[in-house]
Amino acid sequence: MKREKVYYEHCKNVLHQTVLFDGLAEDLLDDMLSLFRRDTWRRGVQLDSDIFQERFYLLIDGRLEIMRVNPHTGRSITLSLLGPGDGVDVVTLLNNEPHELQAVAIDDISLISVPINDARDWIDLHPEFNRNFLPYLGEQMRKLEDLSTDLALYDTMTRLARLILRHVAPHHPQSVCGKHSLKLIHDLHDESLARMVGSVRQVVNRHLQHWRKQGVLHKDKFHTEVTELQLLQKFADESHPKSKQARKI
Amino acid sequence: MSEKNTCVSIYSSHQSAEQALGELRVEGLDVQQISIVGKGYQNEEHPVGFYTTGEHIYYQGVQTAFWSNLQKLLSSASFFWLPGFGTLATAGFIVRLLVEGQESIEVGGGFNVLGKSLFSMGIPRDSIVDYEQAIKAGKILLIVHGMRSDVERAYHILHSKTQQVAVHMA
Repeated sequence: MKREKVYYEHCKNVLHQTVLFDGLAEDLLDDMLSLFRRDTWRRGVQLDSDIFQERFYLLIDGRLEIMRVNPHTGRSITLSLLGPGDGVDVVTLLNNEPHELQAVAIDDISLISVPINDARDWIDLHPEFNRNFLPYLGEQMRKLEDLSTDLALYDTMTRLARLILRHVAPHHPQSVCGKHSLKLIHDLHDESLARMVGSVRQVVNRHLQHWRKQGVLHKDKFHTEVTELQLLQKFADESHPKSKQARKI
Repeated sequence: MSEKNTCVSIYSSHQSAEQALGELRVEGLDVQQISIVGKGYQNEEHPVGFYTTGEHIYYQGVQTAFWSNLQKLLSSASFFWLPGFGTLATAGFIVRLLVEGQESIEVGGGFNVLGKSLFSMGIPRDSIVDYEQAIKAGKILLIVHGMRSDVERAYHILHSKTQQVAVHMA
């Protein structure tokens, strides 16, 4: 990318705030950005995993859902929901093994991309980047660990409560009304939330309605916020009696 | 995957746009997938526009050779005056989009026929605004539109350390 473009500065600002590029020297970041190209994907576009074998994509604006679909049943599960600053399918930086996944743009999204081999070279040549890459990779692995653990050990209500809690915006100043904002999932449809917890829309909708009636969540103009964080935390704690009682609904 | 994939390269001069177009042709890219968009006007005192004297359409203005050649190479060309935008000269695939099916394109945000055409090629709203500003500033857009493989191929031909090329998928 050329340096003088407004978009270039925007990309730098976004990347500086991410785990992957935080703290990197300006000249190194400039060198890396010079290799990138600008990409946009329109909302709803679905891409197969082969595209990620060719180029490494970094999300600049918007959200991207990474999912796996059973072609025989049509059932799907969301493996991750990526936001600005996230790398797409980072595991392909480690090896060339093809793997099944589908990427779906939830919004009109902006990305920057680089040939996959150039991105792999960064890991080899730049220990500064590597120092960021490994913790980032660890974070992604922990998220998958959380997903698999939730699916195996908890019921849908607990999984949904844990999902929402994981997306409460950190360091977000609580509003006057005492509501906590959510990052990435604040305006998702029930269907999308269901894919994230391995359930179906009807079940997720029932739990969300129950929490809204109880005053745990507040929804206004498709925008959900948490109003009772501690109560939601209790629902996320499977052993809590209130959680068990609520589970009977 | 739909065919609403586009790669856009911006040039400061018609010479560099012409050279890039030549490279695409040499590499065998289908010219039916290529469009050129520019202002076609540079504060001239002379008449500006397209005219015909029989079989061929000719461009009248400072960039006469450039736009007349494009009309021959890319089969079609147009010259419009858009309210709030000014003059717009185009050649290639985009001409058909500018004059057909505009009613069915729902882009919103008060976009003109150019914005609607770019949107229908898979270019998002933010980028349309950027491209419109580039054209107003006298720059020339070279657009390749088609399957992802064609667009990626065009990108590899066009991009360089000094030439910025963006890829849009929809």
